[in-house]
Amino acid sequence: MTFENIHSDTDCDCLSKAVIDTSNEYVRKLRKDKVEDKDFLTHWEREIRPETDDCETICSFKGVSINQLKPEFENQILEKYKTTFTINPKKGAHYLKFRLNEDTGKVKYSPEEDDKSHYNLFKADDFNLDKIVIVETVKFA
Amino acid sequence: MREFNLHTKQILKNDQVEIVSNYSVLHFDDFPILYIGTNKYGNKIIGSHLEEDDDTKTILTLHTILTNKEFHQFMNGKISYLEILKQSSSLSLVQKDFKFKIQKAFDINFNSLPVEYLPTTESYCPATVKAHSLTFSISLKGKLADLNKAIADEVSKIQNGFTEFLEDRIKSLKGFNLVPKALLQPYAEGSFKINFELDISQKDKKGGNLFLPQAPIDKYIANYISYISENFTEDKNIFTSENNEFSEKLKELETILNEVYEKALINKPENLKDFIKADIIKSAGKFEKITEQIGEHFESLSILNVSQTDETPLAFMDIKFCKDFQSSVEDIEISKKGMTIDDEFKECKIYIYHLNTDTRTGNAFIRNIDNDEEMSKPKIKINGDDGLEQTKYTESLYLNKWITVKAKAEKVGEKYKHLDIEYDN
Repeated sequence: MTFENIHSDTDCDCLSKAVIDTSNEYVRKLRKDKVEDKDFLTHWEREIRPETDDCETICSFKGVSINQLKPEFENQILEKYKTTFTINPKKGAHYLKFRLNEDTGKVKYSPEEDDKSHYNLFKADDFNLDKIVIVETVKFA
Repeated sequence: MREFNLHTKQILKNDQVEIVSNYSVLHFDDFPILYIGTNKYGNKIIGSHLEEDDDTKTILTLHTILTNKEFHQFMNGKISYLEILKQSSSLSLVQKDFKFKIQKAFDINFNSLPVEYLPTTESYCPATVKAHSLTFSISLKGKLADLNKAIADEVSKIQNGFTEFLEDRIKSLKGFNLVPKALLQPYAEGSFKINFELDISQKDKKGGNLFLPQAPIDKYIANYISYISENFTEDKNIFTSENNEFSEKLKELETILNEVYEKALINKPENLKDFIKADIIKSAGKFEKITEQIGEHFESLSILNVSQTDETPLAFMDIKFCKDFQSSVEDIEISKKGMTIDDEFKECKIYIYHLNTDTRTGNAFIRNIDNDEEMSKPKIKINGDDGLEQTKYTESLYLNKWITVKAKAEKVGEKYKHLDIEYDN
């Protein structure tokens, strides 16, 4: 597994403390009712750049925001998705439940005060949707 | 993004819609979905994320200038984001580049927003984890306050009313043995800001209660202020009767108070419901003193809880609020103490500080019967048809004199509410 894309254009060591995790389930909100390549594009790949240049922010732009699905945080994740939906329904009403393979990439725990199960997924260079194990798509709103 | 028809919209100057200070994200999900801040003119702005376009490398957001009232109502869950957009006449579509820098801003109206992008009716302010503190700021707005000035006497009454309110809440916590001290901080602009810090120390200097720091006293005070300003008037009936069916908001406050006692490992009052009801009635009187200052030299007052990172609005009072609040306090007093009206005219000393000589109505000071250090401010009406100019009734106004009159008083407990004055010159 190589991470040239993660290391390029920056001196930040985004992969420090990132691990391979094939056992836990994760979720990511989708734009539509089916997962598309675009759903797993990072801000960096889309050429969206942060206003600040600290490594934490840069690395968050190089990763895909996902949440680890643990029972104690399920409600918090759902609330986040629902809140987004109430403010802008165009942001989608479905989320994808999935697992990672050995060669998908690495995840790094990046909790926020109101998003305790938040992780950044740093995709391997050859990532595509076949590299994740889709569990199900869930409609939440 | 084509559905927004940007080419047909009128372009605005960026500085009207650009957030330059107090930026705070209320909800984040890949992007700042909902955020607030102020523009360079000091107007409060709420913004939300609409769409990104990978072809043009642009992000489209919606920025709306808020009134102080809208800001307070939204932050306290009184109105939804959808309602704000519907009633606002200052909506703008803001086009940003992929570094979040504003490129252009367009004037729009609510009806031209594509339906699929409209917030839902449930778009209330997200319940974020709020950091509370014991630092407060009272901000006066409108009239003289907008020139960063205030009448010394009014500021002094607001300071005293709020200081007493804060200190009494701490003193009333039974079993805590706390010594509160409200400290004033330097005044600040904006438009005129009075800053307070509540310092709490323990009476027992030998170690004291080790668990006290865990008790969420700051959260309790913040929620208390919020309750008094947002929910007290609509909950009036709970306080005028023996009814112990608490509203949701009052239950919330009771839960926090319960937490204060439990975390400090102190036995709570036997009946927490009765305690909280009595304490709110007592504190409403202090709050009333603050409301009495609003209207003449400034139009509204906000109480903010100030933390290291931001300011949380707790209360917003304008003239309408003050009238409702004062009438609720009076109704509660009448229910507790009853109202009496004199049968005959009796002699009393008053100081008329406001008089409309055409309608013959106004307001006066009169010392309370049970405590002559405290004064009531009853409304007055002077009977008769003769002109009031150059009579004793205008002597307080022009000669700063207390005058003796004959009046029938309407009283709640020992407090004067109305004086029906017999004209005699």
